[in-house]
Amino acid sequence: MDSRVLIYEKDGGIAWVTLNRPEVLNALNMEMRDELWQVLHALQDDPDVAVAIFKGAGEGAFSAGADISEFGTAPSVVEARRARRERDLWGYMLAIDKPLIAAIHGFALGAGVELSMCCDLRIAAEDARLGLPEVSLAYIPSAGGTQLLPRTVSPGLAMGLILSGDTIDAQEALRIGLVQRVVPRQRLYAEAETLARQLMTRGPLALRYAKEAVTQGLDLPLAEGLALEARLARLALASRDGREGLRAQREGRAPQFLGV
Amino acid sequence: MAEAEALAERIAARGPIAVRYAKEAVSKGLDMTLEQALRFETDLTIILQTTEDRAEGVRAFLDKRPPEFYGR
Repeated sequence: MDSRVLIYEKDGGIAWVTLNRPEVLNALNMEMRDELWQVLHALQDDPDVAVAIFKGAGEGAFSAGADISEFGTAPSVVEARRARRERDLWGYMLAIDKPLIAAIHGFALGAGVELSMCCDLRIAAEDARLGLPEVSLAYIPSAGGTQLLPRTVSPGLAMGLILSGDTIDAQEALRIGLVQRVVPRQRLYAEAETLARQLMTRGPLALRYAKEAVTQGLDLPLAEGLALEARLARLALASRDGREGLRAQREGRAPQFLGV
Repeated sequence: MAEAEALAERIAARGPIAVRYAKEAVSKGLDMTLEQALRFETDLTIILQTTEDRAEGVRAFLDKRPPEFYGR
């Protein structure tokens, strides 16, 4: 059994990141966040990584959230705020320009579901249960949940889930659009890999630009978002891959993309 | 009506300051860029770390008992 709290493996262009504290339902502790910081940089910087898949070890959970036993251990709130600003883990994850997939089973609560919302695609096993229960502890989500959930599902549904702290099952998560697909538990990683491989047949440059257009565009007035899209579309079309895509289509063959 | 009341009771059992801050984070955050909104959320969580309710919430969770919140 691997003793690292976060396992990073590469397999043919896919980076598999496993939250590995199954004995505590993969609760995110400081050590795990330290390692996540390293791993996120590694997969962003590694040209061999095209797509990353995040998953939880063990049968019980993707991640049950922040490790509550570490709450209140910061020397002061001033120190806690400084630490958060110095190392913006979730901001960094959101800025990664490669597609990220969360393969969710069991509990995905609090920081667990927030981590999955820092990914671009979420696939859930039928046994998944998702929620932001922080207000039950007189706290609020702090890994982006109050901002990412209203931008992922409708603001009204997000408000209801966050204020009630209610947990929903995989089918409800699918219905509201929090996950894109629900699959049997034993098919979860195969389906995630199929999805990753599908993405890898697309032009990597186009995927990067598409992700940028969607994420940046949400922060912009519509006219500026459309201008950003037009600029990125022109760049994509003028790239080597863009020309190859057109050529391959004309010649009726599969394109060979190089990411330039 | 029964469902609405049940939902209201669930929300009423949560930390009242946290519920207010959560509502503020969601509604005000939507008008901000994501980067600003994430900072706003962080600042609200840092403020909540100073509340008695939050300490009680963590204690109750670790003691496996229902928390008693007083809005402090």
